[in-house]
Amino acid sequence: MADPRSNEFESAFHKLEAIVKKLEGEELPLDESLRLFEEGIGLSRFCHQRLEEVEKKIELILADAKGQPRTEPFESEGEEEAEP
Amino acid sequence: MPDNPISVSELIRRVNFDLYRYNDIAIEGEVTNYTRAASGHLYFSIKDAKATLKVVLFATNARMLRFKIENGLQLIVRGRLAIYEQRGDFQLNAVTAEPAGLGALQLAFEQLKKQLAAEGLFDVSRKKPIPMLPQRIAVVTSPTGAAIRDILNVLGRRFDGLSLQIYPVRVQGNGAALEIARAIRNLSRWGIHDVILICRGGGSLEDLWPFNEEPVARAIADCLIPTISGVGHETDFTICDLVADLRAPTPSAAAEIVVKAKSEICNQVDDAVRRVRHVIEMRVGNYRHELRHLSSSDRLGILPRRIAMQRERLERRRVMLFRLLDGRAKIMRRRLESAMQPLARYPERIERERRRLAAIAGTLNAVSPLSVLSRGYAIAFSRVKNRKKPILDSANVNVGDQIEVQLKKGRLAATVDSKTIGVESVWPVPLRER
Repeated sequence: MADPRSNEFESAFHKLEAIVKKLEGEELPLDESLRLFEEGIGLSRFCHQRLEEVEKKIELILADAKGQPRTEPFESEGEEEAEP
Repeated sequence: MPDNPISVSELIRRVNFDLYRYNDIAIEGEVTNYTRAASGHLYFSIKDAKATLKVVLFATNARMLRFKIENGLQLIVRGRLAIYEQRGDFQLNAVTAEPAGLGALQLAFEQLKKQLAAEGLFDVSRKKPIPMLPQRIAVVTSPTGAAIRDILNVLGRRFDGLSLQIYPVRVQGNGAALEIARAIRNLSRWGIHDVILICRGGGSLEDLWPFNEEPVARAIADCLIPTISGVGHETDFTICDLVADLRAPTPSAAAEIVVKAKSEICNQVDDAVRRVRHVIEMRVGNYRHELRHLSSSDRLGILPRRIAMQRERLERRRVMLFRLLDGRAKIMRRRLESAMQPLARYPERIERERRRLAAIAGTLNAVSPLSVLSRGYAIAFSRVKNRKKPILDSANVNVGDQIEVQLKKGRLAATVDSKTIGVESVWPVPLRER
């Protein structure tokens, strides 16, 4: 199931890449370069925001009686037994 | 002479009794005439170059087979030899069967692999790309196994911006494959994750077996979310690995892929920004340099100088103008003051004029006819058009005219009785006409 949100990220990222290529590859008028620069900075800000936006967490996910997702806290047991 | 005949049943019972010493025998041969009945019983024969033996494998035992029996397969069957009473068929009632040479699991693996490959389930064209930024991650594994521990170790502190949800399943033993398959199908249906990791730590082929079973393979093939398989050690290859969109050699490696994806993207974004900045700084720097160069050249350098010159001229003119205006104002003021001076002397002048007037009045009085009258003279007036006019010449009046005579005191009204046109009287002072 393609998530539209990850698509948003990917398209922003690809746009940013395209801007870098364009800026590095062509001798654009200064105005145009500055416009692209601004756009690029905006896109990078968006990307960073997206990179940090998911809340850090670990939990269990299971199906309930109706087959719907249900989450439970996960207690890691890996901490105390630090074997290789 | 023959003995007393016995019944068929009796004979077969006796032979079967004799066959009891083949109660547990293993025979190797090539499978032919394989059929599977609706009941689940398997019927086939095994043969060598000279002989053929019928084999039946009942459903209860057939269900335990990991691989599929097929014609041409070199098989070792183990069971009890007996005659099927109803038909009189001599056959082996097999309890187990396993492939000759290869292990059963190996064979099963090869068989499923071949089948799924024929269906195209491993085709590269089927592989879904792993999203660039997988952030919501589902892990199908045992919550107490080594795999999840390894994964959490890898994620460790590099965990920011990731959410991990563990779908707990059994990862070995009977029923594990179905649990794993159900988990994958549920996750696919919910569609809330960016990627699914299917993981298990290392173990024997037997331990890893659920990941080689068809239900798991089908569930992965049907899964709408991209899957990463990390089962066993690097040398272990499972069907799960082959069907998944990406095979990671181990669970740690699967976690590594996810974490790396994120940090790599972070780096790439930063790199992109750095490069964009660099280009712009260079361009702007170049322009700035050129601009400085241009403005230091004569053509443009003259401009500020000219402006300064003009400004100076303007300033000078302004000063001149002020000076001029100031001078004019002084002159005007002086003129005004001098104009005011006569005015200041005005009262004095009025007095003088008054005195002069008095003197003139005195003189006037001296020459007034009225003073003559006081000396006894009289003045005769004619009246012409109601205006009195002194009569200086008798020629100007006619006999009978009414005239008026002014004395020192009072007036006379008279009538001209006669007149003489005569010579001019000699008077010391002629009367001035008034």
